[in-house]
Amino acid sequence: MDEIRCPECDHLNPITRTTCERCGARLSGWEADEAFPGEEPVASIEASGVLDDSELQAWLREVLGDETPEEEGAPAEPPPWAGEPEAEPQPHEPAPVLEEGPPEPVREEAQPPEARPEPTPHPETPETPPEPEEAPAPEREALPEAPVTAPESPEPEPIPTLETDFPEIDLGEPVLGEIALDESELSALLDEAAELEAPPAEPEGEATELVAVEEEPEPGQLPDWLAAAQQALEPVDTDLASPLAGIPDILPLEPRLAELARKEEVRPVFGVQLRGEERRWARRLAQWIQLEDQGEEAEEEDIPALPWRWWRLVVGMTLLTLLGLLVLLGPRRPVGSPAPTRGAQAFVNLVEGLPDNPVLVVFLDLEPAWAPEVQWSALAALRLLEARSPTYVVFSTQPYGSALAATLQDQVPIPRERFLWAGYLPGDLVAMALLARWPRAMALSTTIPEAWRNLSDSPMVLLVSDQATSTREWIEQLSPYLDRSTALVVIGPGQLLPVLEPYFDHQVQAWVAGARDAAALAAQTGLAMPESTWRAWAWSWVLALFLGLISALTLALWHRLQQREVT
Amino acid sequence: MNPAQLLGWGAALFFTLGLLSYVFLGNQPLFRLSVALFVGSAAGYLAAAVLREFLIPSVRAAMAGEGSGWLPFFLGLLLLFYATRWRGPARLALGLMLGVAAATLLAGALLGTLFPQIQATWREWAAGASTLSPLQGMLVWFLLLAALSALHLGRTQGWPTLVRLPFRGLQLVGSLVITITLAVLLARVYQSALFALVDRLQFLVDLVFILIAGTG
Repeated sequence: MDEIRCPECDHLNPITRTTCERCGARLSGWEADEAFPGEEPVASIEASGVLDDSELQAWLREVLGDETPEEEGAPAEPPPWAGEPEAEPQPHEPAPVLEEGPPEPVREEAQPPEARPEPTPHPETPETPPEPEEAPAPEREALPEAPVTAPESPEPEPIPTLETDFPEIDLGEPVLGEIALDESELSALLDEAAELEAPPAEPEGEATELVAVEEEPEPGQLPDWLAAAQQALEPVDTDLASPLAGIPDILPLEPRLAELARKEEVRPVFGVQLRGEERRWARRLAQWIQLEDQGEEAEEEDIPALPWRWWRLVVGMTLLTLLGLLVLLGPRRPVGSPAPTRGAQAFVNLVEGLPDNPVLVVFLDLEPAWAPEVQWSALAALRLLEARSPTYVVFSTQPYGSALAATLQDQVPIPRERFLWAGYLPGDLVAMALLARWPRAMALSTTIPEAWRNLSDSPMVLLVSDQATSTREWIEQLSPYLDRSTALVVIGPGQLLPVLEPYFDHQVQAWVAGARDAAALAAQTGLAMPESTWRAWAWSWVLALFLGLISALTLALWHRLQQREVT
Repeated sequence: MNPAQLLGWGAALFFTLGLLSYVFLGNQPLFRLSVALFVGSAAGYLAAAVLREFLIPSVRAAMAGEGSGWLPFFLGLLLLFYATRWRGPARLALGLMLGVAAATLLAGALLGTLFPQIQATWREWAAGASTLSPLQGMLVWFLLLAALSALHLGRTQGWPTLVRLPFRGLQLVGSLVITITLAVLLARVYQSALFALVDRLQFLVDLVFILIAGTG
């Protein structure tokens, strides 16, 4: 009987029609080129690309259980679009292979359990859970029993049914504190949210859909997400174009869920107990979301923070004012000589033992940033050395070396013929090693005395450096090439003293480190520091310490007040 | 007071006040102008110094066949490839440079610090000329071991408790030693910075006195 029953009005129509004669509804219920969302498209349709109406209705009639006298008891002829049946089952396919029939998704839905062949597990794959034996079969669907080509397998274990074998799950409303997140994890999440405080700027005219904050529902009122889900379960117009058209409780929910997903109305809901800082961050996060809902930009700081700019201004002004007053009102007479350090005393002794007119090597490794203190030390050392009228061979590993050397030469002062600029050598550490090993070859000046070839030809090597690290590297590179007759003297700021102490006497024979040593040598050099500078420098320590302490206390007090405000 | 000296003092006064204004006014045009002029002049001076003090003499030496010839220039040109997609030649030059620097650093640390320090300590100890008493010497060794143990990076999970707990205590002492050492170094750096600040203030006061004396 070449007729097809209308799914809407149950009217029998000729098989050649695609719409119902009575109600005009579509009879096929299948779009050949349309894959249902979430379903795997039928491979044969993909292969053929075109679905003929007669072919479609043939298998559809079979699915719907209409009388098909020509296929009764015989294997169904596959339509041409279904492709050739597989001659041999692939070994990795656990599913039974039917020789022929309609497309697989519909056929498997309609196949009664007794007619369905048992699955054949692959020997290498884990056991495939079989279908439940007592699954309800559709009334009208009775396909001919298909031959089973797969070998028999042992009786599979029945999978548990939903009603009997699974424990009951209480799907009540989530309770606050039910999900106990780790405090560190939550803090990390909230910190991450704080980093995202400033959202990327979006072009104007593209208003983004903002997510509303879910308020706690009133008693007896369903939460929004539950009301939305309940609304989604209500029957809606069936999409007749879908292959699952007419099957209740499956199709209507899907477009609604898709719509809900688009609107971002279905979101996970959980509860958590917040404490202390977490509660503050959560409140801030809720305020951000609320501000975004209102179309406003979130403020950077909703909790008043310590006004660091003003605090910095107060500290800086206090320090500068007090130091300025000390300098301005302090006595301008030369400061009295403090006791020299043992390195400075050793330098005085070394200078006394120098011969007249020696050739001394000077390595400059300093930058203008620390020039003030280094300048005092270097001037004191060079003025003391002037008593022996030495000739200086000056190298530099910093590009500013020539300018600083010229300044020193002018301030000491040193005659030009005794102050020989040997050049700048880049490369830091490698330059140090080259200068220590082959100083003569590295020198650019041609007026260097011929007698001077190596560092050991000089009775003294002066290293003028401003950094503790570079000073240590210089000592490491120079000391292997210096014999006991050549003294290594380091001139620099006071910060070098902790580094120089371990090398004293066996690798570093003397030093002039900092303004203190410069002041200690004032009696011999005549280079006296004003007492106002000395006093201001001495008091600067106390002032800096006092202001740092006040700042730390203020910061601690501010944080304490913030925590109290939050809690 | 000659005009050049006055001009130099005026420029120094302007830049000093411009840099100190950051404390009072934050990042504002005067501070930015001072920083830009300082950085620009420093970069210009650096370029001129490198050209005059190193590149030109090196080219002359290479043309005369002295030194290492054109090899440094060739390696320097290879480094330019690092900005392109053909980084292989640049890696060769870069690897050579870093390898030499690392070897120099390591050899210097061994031959310039470690061995001489051990030798000097042993020599003084053997000659009985050490300035440290035996108790002080033991304290130095203990603190040295503590500092080394604090820098231990291995896991101590599988160690016996009798070893692990004293080692943890030693690590704590070592951490304290390292912290105090670094704090002393930082305080010394801070001391130098404060001296630079006082020196600038003294310069300003002196300049004011000079100007008052000059106009009076």
